[in-house]
Amino acid sequence: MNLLKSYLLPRIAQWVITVFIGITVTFIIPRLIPGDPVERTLSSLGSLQTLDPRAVESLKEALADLYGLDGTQFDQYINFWKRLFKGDLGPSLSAFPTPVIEIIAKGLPWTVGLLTTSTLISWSLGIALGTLAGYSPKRLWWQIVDKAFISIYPIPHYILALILVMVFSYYFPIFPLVGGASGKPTLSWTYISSIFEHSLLPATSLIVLSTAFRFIMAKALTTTVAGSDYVGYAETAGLSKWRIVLFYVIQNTMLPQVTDLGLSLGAVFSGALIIEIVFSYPGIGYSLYMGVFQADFNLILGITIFSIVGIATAALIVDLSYPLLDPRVRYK
Amino acid sequence: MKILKDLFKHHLAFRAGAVIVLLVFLLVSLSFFSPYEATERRVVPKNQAPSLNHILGTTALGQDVFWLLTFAIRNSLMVAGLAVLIGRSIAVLLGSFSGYMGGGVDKVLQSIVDSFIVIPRLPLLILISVIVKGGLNLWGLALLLGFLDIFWPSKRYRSQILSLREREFTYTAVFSGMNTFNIILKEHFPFFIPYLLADAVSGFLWAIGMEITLAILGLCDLTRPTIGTMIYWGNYYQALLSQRLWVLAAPVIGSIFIVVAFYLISTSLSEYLDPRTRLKRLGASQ
Amino acid sequence: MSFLAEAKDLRAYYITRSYGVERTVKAIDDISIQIKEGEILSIAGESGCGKSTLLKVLLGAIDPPLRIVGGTMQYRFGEDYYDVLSMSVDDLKKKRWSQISYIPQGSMHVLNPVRKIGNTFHDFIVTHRDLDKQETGKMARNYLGRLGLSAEVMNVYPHQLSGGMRQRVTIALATVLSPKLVLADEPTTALDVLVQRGVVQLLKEVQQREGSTLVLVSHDMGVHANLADRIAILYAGKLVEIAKTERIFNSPTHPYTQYLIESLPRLDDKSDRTSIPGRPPTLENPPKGCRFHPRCPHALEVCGQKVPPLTDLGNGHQTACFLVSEVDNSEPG
Repeated sequence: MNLLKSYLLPRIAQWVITVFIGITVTFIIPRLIPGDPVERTLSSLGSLQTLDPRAVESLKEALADLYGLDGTQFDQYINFWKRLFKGDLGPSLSAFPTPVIEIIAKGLPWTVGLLTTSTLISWSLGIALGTLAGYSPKRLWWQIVDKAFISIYPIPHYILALILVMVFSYYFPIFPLVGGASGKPTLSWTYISSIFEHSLLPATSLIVLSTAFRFIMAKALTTTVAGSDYVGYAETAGLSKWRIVLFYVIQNTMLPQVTDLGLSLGAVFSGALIIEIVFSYPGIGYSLYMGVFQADFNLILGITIFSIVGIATAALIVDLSYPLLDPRVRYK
Repeated sequence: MKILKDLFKHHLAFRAGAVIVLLVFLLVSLSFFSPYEATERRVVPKNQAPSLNHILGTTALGQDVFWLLTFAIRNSLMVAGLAVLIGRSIAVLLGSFSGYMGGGVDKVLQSIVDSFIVIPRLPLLILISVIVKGGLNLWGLALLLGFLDIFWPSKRYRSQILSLREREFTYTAVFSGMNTFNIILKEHFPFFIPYLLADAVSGFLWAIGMEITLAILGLCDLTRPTIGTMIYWGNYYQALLSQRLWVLAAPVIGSIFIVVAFYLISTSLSEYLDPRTRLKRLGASQ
Repeated sequence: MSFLAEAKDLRAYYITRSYGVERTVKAIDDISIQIKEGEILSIAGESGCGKSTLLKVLLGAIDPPLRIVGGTMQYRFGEDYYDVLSMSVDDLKKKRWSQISYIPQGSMHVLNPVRKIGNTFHDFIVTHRDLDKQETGKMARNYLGRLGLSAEVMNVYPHQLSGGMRQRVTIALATVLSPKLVLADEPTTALDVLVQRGVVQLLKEVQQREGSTLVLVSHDMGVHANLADRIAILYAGKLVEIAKTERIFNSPTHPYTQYLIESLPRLDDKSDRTSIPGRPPTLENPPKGCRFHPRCPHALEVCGQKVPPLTDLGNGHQTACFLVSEVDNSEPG
């Protein structure tokens, strides 16, 4: 009961606030620019000439409906929310009249797959290496690893991905350049291995950068925890190194890492979008890229709204699982 | 000043970072002596490999890569620097206001800040750039990046302020009747500023990365040379497929040197400022 | 004489080097001390006099920046002698808990906050005994029971216990394997007075039942009076006086010891307590000669020039003061 009141409810309230602020911001931004948004959107739509007049007319209607330009700003705002509650993000403009939500649904498994795999791997790898490096900082081997990660960490996602593309797709064409898989989606080994083959480079780029970040954080946290009284005492008592690292260091450094994961999900997601763009990986990021490319404003707006809600929810799940790890929150 | 001298003398990473940063600034200042205008095209033969005449080669648009790079780095640094200046100024105000006020104000501000931290910035950034489409010149870009990089730093500054408020010298100052403003200015800022400097670098790195990303998407002023637009035009004219590596190599390698150098400086600075190393320096181990 | 641990002419310095600044803190400067089997020896002195460092060296926990610069240090277990300074870290760690144990300062943070007490007991026992989880659990529960602690604590996390309870659990954790030598660093600091008494009682009980030897560091003379057989007084990294507890309290010879005793409140005396004038010197640059001479009301000329040797006054009473060694012993006390 206590846990619910002092921990879980505030987190859920925070989620509500986040979603509210995020959606409100996406409502306001398009309205800050003067001019008729329907005309503006239509005029920038490159594919307009190729559409027949009737399609243009229905597109116009859809847009007017979408922007809900009738009534006061407040009415529009309420309507905006009503649509969202129904899960309606409007139609895509470039692939009219496919609903945006359908495009997102198509890309989602790819993005989620890429994100979870790379987060899981980089999380374990970064924490394992960072803890060991922080626990025996004098070893030459760890100093080299440390320097390597420090030099990789600040490299922008795009640059690193570009380098990987240059090296492994052009100069040593080991991996396919673009796409998510080849062939028809079946449960066959060839299809699955082709997913793996296509995902390897994008995942590697993400993993390398996220691992570097986790490594640096884990190392700093380990240095602090290694200097704590309880680790010092366990060392004095002669506990074996792996026991100390596993139960005394990592169990404690995990806690701030989990808190940070919740907060940094947005950044990790943004990184994944960039990677998808570079590798034309068929996830949400690539849809976003196509949206930009084809001036499909509605698709961009939809993806933005969807990712705000999605990331806030994922962060909430991470937050809610925190008490499982920290007994001090669990038994207050 | 003493900090910098100490670091330069005894910290290898800092020395490496400082030397590269100096070189970068040298490169930037060279841009003022460039024989070509920044936005001029078709002034040299197209698609030349690096040679004595054009040490880094030329682009498909007939620009000299070396001189273009000096402009690009200058513009990118300027955008990132300005973004950091804008974002961090607001972040400092927000963070210290929240931290010093405490209570309900702090609570409300923090839950807003936490919300913005969770919201993924890239889609938002793209959304805004698409709306102002083309209208995003370098200044606008810096402003936008600055505004989007307020919240994480302000949270960190707030916790710094909170810990400063708990320190002994704050109490001493309060009891000796110093007014709040003086305490902040004289007692807290000397501790806060070095932290701010080390922290600002992270914003700088983010801004450089985002500038590149937006340029790749063609969402900022593509006529101005920046690291991002150099890569954009390189891709546009198929530099990779046609084996003209030099066009991409210059901005890619340049950007890596810049970010790594700045990051090295920032980590060595924060290591120097870490209370544990500080303690070691003072020899107060008992 | 049967000793359990002995330090001779020991010098232990903290040497740090950072950003071109080298510092040497002479925490222990030429100390010789013997710990006898079965006794309770107390080490007293102001904070920063080297008490905790001495305990660390006795424990054989010599990690940088702490370095042994000179002297010897020996353990004797049964008929075997061990040279602590030449033993490997692994060998030293094997001796811990089964032979030598340690109760640290500030028990608030010595227990892993995210591990149940029972698991911590398991970790510590299994390191030195070849037992499975059930056996270590049984062993810990039995021991806790003997000390009058509820076995319930095995299933809780440290933050669920009170400060006093945590310190008791720590004492149990340190002594569960019946070590011969128990070193306790300020075991009662940060506890409230009533709880302190209980903890002191527990320490005494453990020592008596297990027949172990207890070395105790504290700045609280009250704890020494209640617990100790012998008291060693440290000042600025040097041993200035050592004697049986009654002698230290009834006839202290070193002016510093006299100050320490005089600063204690007494039931029959309502006059103001004198505190020692001045502050202890920094161990980085201690004064020449006797380190106490700048604060000593009886300082002679020689005190500022030569280091007074430790002089035997009989009955195991030793003092390092020229007032005792140079001027004759006509005025004891």
